[in-house]
Amino acid sequence: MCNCSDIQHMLADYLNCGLDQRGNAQVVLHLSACKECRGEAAFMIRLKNAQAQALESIPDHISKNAFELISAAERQERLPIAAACDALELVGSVLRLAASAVF
Amino acid sequence: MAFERLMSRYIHIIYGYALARVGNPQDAQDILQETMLAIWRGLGSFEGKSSFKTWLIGISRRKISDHFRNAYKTDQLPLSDAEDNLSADGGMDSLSEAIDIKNAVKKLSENERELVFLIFTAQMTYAEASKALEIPLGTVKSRMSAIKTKLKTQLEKG
Repeated sequence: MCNCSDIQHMLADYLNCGLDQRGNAQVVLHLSACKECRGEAAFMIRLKNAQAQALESIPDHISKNAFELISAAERQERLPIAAACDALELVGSVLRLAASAVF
Repeated sequence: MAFERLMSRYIHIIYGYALARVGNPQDAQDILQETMLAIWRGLGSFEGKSSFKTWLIGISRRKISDHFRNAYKTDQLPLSDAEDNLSADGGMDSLSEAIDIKNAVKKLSENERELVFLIFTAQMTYAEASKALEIPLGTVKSRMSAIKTKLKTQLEKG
């Protein structure tokens, strides 16, 4: 059985979808019964929202120029990397799909 | 390109992290470009021992350290008030609260602000932040507890 201190250390991971099913259940169960930890969770959500807000405005030209140093020649030499990127992207998509199905 | 597609999900995190550390959009852009090149070159050596995000943040940290080292050599001292450059607009319901929180975060130490970024902005788990910062998990926990206490005190003061 987790106490308030344990749960409060788990809240960030909970909010960042970093807990397993058992951890999620422990947090949800505890929050349903503990006003203090609900307050802590609300505080962390406010922090997370405020911090995420600060990231939203990245100038377009910065995103577009981010890959400028990777030369065309280097891209040609490392063509197999594309397959690795696709694989990583696929794994990410599958994990997100699985997470949305479970939670 | 597959690489651009893959990185599009992380680019804002890496740029935001660099900006939060160096405080200057031009330097942050340079660091972003250098980080992208290093990721491109190192992608083949990613072994999956940590999460992909942790690996990216680790590379970003090294590039930021390089930047500080070079700035020190050329006497261009870095700015530390990074959050001044983070925009607070963009349609948030409670803009004043976002500003209050931003100001409270600004009063934290540099190490604390870095941890706040990794946990609340990059949305890393404690374990990922522990690996990225190369500090024990227990230190992440105790540091986060101290940070939350400080932020609450600041916010209560208004």
